[in-house]
Formats: sequence, structure tokens, C-alpha cells
Amino acid sequence: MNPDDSDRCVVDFDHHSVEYAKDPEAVLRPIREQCPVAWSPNHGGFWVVTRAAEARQVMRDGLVFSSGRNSYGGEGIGKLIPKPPPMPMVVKPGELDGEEQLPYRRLFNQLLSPTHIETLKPMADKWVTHAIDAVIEQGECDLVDDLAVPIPAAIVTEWLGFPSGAWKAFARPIHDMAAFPEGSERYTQAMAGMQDLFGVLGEAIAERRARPRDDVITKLATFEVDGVEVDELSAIGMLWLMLLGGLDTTGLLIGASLVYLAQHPADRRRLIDEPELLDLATEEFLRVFPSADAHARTVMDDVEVGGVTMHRGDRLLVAWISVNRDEQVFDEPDQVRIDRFPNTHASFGLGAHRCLGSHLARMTFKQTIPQVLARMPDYEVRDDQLVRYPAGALAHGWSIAPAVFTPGARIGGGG
Amino acid sequence: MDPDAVVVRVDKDRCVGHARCNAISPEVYPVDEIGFVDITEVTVLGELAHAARAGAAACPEEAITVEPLSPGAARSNP
Repeated sequence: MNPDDSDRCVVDFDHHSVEYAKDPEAVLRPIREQCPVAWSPNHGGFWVVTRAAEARQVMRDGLVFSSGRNSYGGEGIGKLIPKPPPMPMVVKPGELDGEEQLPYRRLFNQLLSPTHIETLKPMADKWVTHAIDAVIEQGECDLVDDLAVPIPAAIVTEWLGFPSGAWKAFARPIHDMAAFPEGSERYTQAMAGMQDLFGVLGEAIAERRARPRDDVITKLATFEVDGVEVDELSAIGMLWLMLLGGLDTTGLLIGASLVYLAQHPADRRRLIDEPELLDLATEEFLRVFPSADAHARTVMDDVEVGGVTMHRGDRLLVAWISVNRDEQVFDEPDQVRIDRFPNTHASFGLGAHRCLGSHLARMTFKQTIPQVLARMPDYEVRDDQLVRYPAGALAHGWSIAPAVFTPGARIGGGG
Repeated sequence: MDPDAVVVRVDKDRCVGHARCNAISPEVYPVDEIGFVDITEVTVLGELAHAARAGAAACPEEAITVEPLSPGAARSNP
């Protein structure tokens, strides 16, 4: 149903446009300044939330603002506009609302708790060392293909309980599915690779149900809700969620931050000289480089948000990337300040669907950056060789970032 | 009355486990086994009052308030 409020702020906003892909902040800034809640007629029509207060309101109420399956705005995954084709199963808890999601949230929050993530630091460090060792003697690498993609992929894959090396089969299709638009050859190949990937995940779930081990895959495979083991397809969906959520997202943050530091040597120098800034710098990089720049909801009941009346069936997009520039929250929001505090960015979302992997993402990032700065402190990126994710991709960031640096020595055991 | 005495209150309905408060001050803001803040209301004195305010400012959900301890409350709380 189209809203008919005559005073709604109508904007020709399209987050799939080439203009947006080049500079999303520049596209969103005038919208945010004119109207906290705007209406875009594109993609079947949707509301655009650009500020923190309204974003909090929306994300606090998962029953009015649903993440679940419905037919409004098409069929498929509700958290994006337009809806991508659905997975073979309802992904839990990502596509659940309210009470239904709670047992799944509890399980994942336990598995990814801050305390538990602390214990994974040596394992993470091992993979950072391994990735840098693979390129350190050559004096050149691709920050994306050699560092940003493999490091989170290897860490998440090992955390789950897959064999060493399995991450390679996961990283490519997941990366390409996000980095290339629907219809492109890389995307098409990635979707085919996804079939194989689901086969691997299905085998892993079945194996653990038959022969349980002490690993995360087993915990997902044998998870019980109200005393009943989840069905196999749901368990595969949960496993899939961990890969979808954990690989390309963290990789985008690493890639964006490493490119930024090369382009801003004063900040890079400062981070090297003042390593205690790492925690604050991490939050600032999260703020200005959110991997998920916007998420959608379906409005399930009439509700007022930011002075506009939304109706059941409306689709709504919360532009995290704009929320993170809300000058009512952030002083000089367009300035990158690696010592910024407070920094209540929304890059891991807000409300009940807050990113389950946020602690792992931060830890991975904080294990990666210092070792890169220590071992490759003079790495340079050629701006004319940088390639962005194309317009219409599921996220935005660098897909190619070649770098050169003074070669160094391997420090790991190899293998 | 200790000038740096504050009452920290957490709205548990708003806490979703960002754990930013805990990252700033595990002493004021311990978290439970799922990473959610483990206090509802505490009185914090001295140096920790500063950490309490910083932790509250760091919450993206605006789930934490920190208010000066009133003189009356200070007398009635042993």
C-alpha cells in the first residue's frame, strides 16, 4: 500500500545506484538534513530512516518492524530492499521476530560472548601471522584477497569446527555473492558455488547429528528449542548465518581501514606510536566503514516514526551509514577521528538483531591491524588501482586493493 | 558525602549485548555468560564514577543512566 501523506518527504533515493556506490554519504546527507524519514518511490517504494533516534525506535520493536517472511514488497529476504531470493530455509534467528528468536539469540550469544572470544585470540593471531607470512617476503600483496578475505574466513571456519583449509571453499562464493551484482558472471558463479557450499554445510550438520563432537557445528546441529531438536534445514540455516555474517563483513572493515591508513599516513603513524588508541580507532573505523550500510524492515502495523505515519505493508530502510553521521549524536560526523569518544555508532545494528558476531569481529580486527602495522608499516596503495564493489552489490567497499611494502621475514611455523 | 558518588541504572529491556559499557569498565559493568550487562542498579564511588559515566555514554541503545547520588540517599545507604 502506498502512503498517501501529502507532506511526506519524497526523494529519488536508490541505494543500488552508481551514484550511491561511489559516495553513499554524499547521497544521504541532503536527505538526512531535509527529512529524518523520507519516502523513495524506487524498488516498489520504501521509507528511508536516516537518523539515530528513529533508527532506535524502529529497531526496538521487532513486531511492528518485522524481519520475517511476508509478501510485502515481493517474496524473499526481508532485511534488504529489494528482497533477495530466499534461502531454502527461514534463517534463524535472522528472519525471526519477537519471542521466537530468543532461544537462538541466547545460543549464539553464548557461543560468541565477549568472554569466549577472548579465548580465541591465539587462534586468530595464528591466522593473521599465516596470512601476512604468505606475502611478506614478496613486498606486494592485495590487501583484500591476501588479508581482508582470508583472515576472517579462516578464523570463523576454525571456530565453527571445520577442518583447516576449508575456509577457501567458503570465502570465494560468499565474497563474490556480496561483491558482484545479481546477473553478473561472478555472481552467477557464486550462486552455483553456493549450491556446493550448502551441500558441505548439510553434510557437516548430518555428520554431527550422527557423531557429535565438541564443536560449534555440533551445538547448532543438535540445538533444541523447547526440548525438540531443530530440523536439519534450520540447523543448516544457522550454520549458513554464521558464514554469511562473519566473513565478508569483517573483511570489508579490514580492507577499508587498511586502505584508509595508507591514504592517511599521519593517522597510521599515530596508531603505530600510540597503540593504546586501537580500541577507539576500531570504533571509528566501524562508524565510517559500516559493512552493512542499510537494513530493511516490513511495517506490520500503523505507526508514527519521525513525524510520518507508516502503514502495514510499507517497506522501510534504515540507512546505518547515515545514522553514523547524525550530527545530533556525533560531533563533526564527517571527520574521521581515531580517538573519538563517545562513539555510539550503529554499525552492528541496534535492538534485538544486533550483530551476534560483533565481539568476534572486533577481536579479529584488533588482532589484524597491529600485526600489519608492525610488519608492513610502510605499505602503499595506488589509488588508481583500487576497485570498489560495484553498484547494486549487497555491501560496499574494496574488492581490489594492491599494495607494495618493504619485504620482511616470515615469523610463523608455515603450513 | 563523597562528591564522586553516582547511581548507575540499566534498562534491561534495552540491553542487547553490545557490551560497550563492559569494554570500558568491567568493574562497573560486568556481563553475564551471554554478554549482557549483569547489573540493574548500583552505587559507584570515587574513581569508578568516571568509568561509570564513560560506560553509559558508550551504550548505543541509551540503556544506561548515571545520576549523582542524592545527599538523602547517601545518609540512608550504609
